[in-house]
Amino acid sequence: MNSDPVLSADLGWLILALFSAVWIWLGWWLGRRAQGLDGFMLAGRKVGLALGTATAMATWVTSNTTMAAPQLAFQMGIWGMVGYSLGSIGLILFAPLAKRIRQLMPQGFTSGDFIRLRYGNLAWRVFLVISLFYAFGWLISLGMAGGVLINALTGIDYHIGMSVIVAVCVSYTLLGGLRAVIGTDFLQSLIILTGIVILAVLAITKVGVVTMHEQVLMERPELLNLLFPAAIMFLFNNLLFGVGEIFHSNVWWSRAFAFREGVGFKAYLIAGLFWTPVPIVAGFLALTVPALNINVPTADMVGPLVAGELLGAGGAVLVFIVVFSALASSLDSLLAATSDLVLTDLYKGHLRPQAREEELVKAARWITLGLGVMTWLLCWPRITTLAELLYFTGAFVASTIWPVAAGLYWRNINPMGATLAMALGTLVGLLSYFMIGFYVAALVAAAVSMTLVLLTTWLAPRNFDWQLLDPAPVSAREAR
Amino acid sequence: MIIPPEILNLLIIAATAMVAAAPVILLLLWFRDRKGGTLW
Repeated sequence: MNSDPVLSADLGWLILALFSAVWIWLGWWLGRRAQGLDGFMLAGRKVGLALGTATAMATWVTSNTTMAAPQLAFQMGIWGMVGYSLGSIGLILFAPLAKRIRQLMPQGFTSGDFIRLRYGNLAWRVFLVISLFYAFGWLISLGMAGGVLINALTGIDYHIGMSVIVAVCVSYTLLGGLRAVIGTDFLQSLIILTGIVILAVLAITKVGVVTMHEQVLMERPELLNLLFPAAIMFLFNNLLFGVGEIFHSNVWWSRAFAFREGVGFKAYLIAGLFWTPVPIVAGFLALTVPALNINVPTADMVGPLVAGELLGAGGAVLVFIVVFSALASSLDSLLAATSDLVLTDLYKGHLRPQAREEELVKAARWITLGLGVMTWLLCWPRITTLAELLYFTGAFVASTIWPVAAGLYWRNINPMGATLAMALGTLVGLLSYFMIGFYVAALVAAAVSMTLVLLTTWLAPRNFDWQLLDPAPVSAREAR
Repeated sequence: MIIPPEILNLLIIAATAMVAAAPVILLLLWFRDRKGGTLW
């Protein structure tokens, strides 16, 4: 991004300092009552509907949603923003899965737990490679996005901005675990939604949809074309990528375990419905560019430029706060969920199977800190091809859709088939990524994975006992 | 096939109204959970 910053560095520092202090204090305050491993990792498994809905929605609203939605509308028009909004399908489809997960595994900790108990150790290890690769890709992209956006909006050096956002999120996750993450997510979701609505109302009242339509039709009519081929292709790829990301990632599984009984289905469904219009509202701002006669040097700065034009410096401040909240709400969730996965599936699962709860509580904090340091180190060189790395993960995540979803409902799934589905789905998806293009990687991976799951189950069905997913003794199950 | 201005207007207004309603509903749910002791 080479455009001039829309805010002064001094104002940027003031906002950064203020919000950093608020998030860290809130993290400490919310987390002070967290007791034991369940308290730290899963907020005591008693999260209610309000906090559950907000955390699911805020986590899925990343800096991409708030910054890339206007960019996509600017590049792909109507289908760019509508296609982006279909990312909510993953959240909505996960609603029944969350209910099922809570029923089958009331004492579960991670998505890795499910794969291990359902399909065995080989599938578990294949899944861990996929899941950790994706988690690191997303962690690094969020850390880098923080540095890039702070630099673009305020001129503050990339390395300093990135370090601040990573340090703040690590600090409050470390202090309060999932309670801190979920509590801050609630406030962050209120800030994000209110900020976006203020900007949208200003755009509607100051420019008007009819004027906006006329100007876009004169200058860039392709943006209003409902048969824009590239945008329609993007729509399907985005849909499948989103479903794969949510179905496999421990970010969403840990919430299914953390929500009170009966909350998971409603929370994910409402969060999906709340999320659907967000990319449309954030995205249509870009369609005001011709009417406002704004010079846009780089497409990814279209959101802040429109906000600055509509509301002056106040608009840019609003965008900065919204983007900072969106980044923090996703980065903290990913840190906590990846830390859970490393603790449960690597540390306890592979290195210290006999570790007691006190040791695990301490290890959880060290792992969160370690992940933060690793993320910071990997973000430091500012790898410019990271967007490609994220597209790359499409093949990985889409290959898990079938083994996860079918494994939760269909007792006959063949475990070796599920393992092969994840491994070969990823492999063929990656081949298609290199030989055809990024837009088919997720599609091919999901198709190969589905074929293998169905074929192996048809040829050699198994009869899985669902009670194996809840390893508690029968007496404990009956007492619950 | 160009989207008519009326449909674009409807899409934007409906989406904005939904996003505007979301924080209000979240706060109502928060008060309900807090009152019922089911917040955490």
